[in-house]
Amino acid sequence: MNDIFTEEKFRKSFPNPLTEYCIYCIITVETVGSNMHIQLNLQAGPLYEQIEYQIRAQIFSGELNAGEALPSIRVLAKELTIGVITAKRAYDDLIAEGFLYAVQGKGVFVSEKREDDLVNGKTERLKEQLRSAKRFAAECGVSPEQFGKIVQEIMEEKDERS
Amino acid sequence: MNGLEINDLAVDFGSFKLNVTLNVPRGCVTGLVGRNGAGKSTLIKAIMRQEEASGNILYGGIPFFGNETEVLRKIACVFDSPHFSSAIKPKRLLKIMKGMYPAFDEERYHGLMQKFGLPEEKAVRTFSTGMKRKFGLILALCQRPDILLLDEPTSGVDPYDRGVVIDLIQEFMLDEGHTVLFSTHITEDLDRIADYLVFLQDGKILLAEEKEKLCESYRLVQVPELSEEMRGEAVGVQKSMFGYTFLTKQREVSGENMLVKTPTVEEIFVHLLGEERK
Repeated sequence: MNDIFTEEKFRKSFPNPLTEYCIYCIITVETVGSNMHIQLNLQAGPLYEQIEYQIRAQIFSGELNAGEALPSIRVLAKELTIGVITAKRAYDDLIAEGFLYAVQGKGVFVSEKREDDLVNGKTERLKEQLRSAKRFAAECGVSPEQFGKIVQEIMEEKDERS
Repeated sequence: MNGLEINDLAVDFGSFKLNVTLNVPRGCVTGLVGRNGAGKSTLIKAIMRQEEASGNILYGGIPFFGNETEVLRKIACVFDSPHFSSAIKPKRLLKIMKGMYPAFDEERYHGLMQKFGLPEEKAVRTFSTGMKRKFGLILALCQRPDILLLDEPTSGVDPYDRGVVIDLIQEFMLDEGHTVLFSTHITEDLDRIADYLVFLQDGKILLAEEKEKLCESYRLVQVPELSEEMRGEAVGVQKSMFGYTFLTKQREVSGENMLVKTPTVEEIFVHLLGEERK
């Protein structure tokens, strides 16, 4: 697994950084930063799914670029205050789906975008919206059959713009 | 490899008996939960050899007897109450710790004391609960252990300091060779950072499993009326004025007016370890 060069390790290797090794210091700080941003809601379903969904969305939107290095599993876990296994599961799923790839000893990176993934990604977002509609339907006491009918009706509606 | 391999560990207090066989995986945070008196503190003390116990424990693969010094340097513990006189000042304690642990990380110690605003010249008894917990954790971390045992590190600590404690634990976990076992009643902490959960009941292990697998293996169901068919599959049924709440292992549960969700650690705790309320 990728191990980032933490400040503590740095201090151990270079006991007197400020005088003799200040250049290394600057480099370390820059490699640690990440463009990724993730927000978690403990009440909103499995945490790994929330992470997966947000990373996917950021790959589609172009906020995360192909080849970009992501934080190691342990750094991800610490920064998000989640378990190591939860963080690993999110990365493992995204690697299995082809959104990320791992290089032994180097870390986890964003894969090249593919057209069919883009379509999948939009489908994924659509599903997410339909899921919230489904939850709302359940709250209103709309049965799954009625819900299906409503979706059907919407599909048959004439597009306002046409 | 396991951080701790506990085989047939037994403590006998006469009226209370603890008997545990358990593997605590390395590189992970394991949460120890159970009701008051379930044996959590006794288990931690027995692992630290502070309680007379039979059975055998491997610490990172090494047995205790014959390797006492090595094992005690590998493992650090924060007990629920300080195991040193509270009249002592941190400054004096630091000297003792340095004598006991040649690898004691003094630089980090001073850094953390300063970071958390802990005075080195005041007796520990003048510290607040949160300060004591942080101080205990700092002492343990600066021993540079591989295995960290914590007995309720977040109890009696305000939400901000709880975050600080959790952060220190997670920083420790950045090294994949490290292992944490902590007992807690604050199940929210477990929901977030635990990788494995161990449920202790009456001195025995009720279950030990990966947290997410455990939570996902159950469904929490709320219904207005409980049918006989449902009752057969229901675990820890609790009744209120408005209906029933219970856990079930059934994957497909649905029905009219039924709310089904994946339970949190707290909900599993209440329904598995609590008595049925009818």
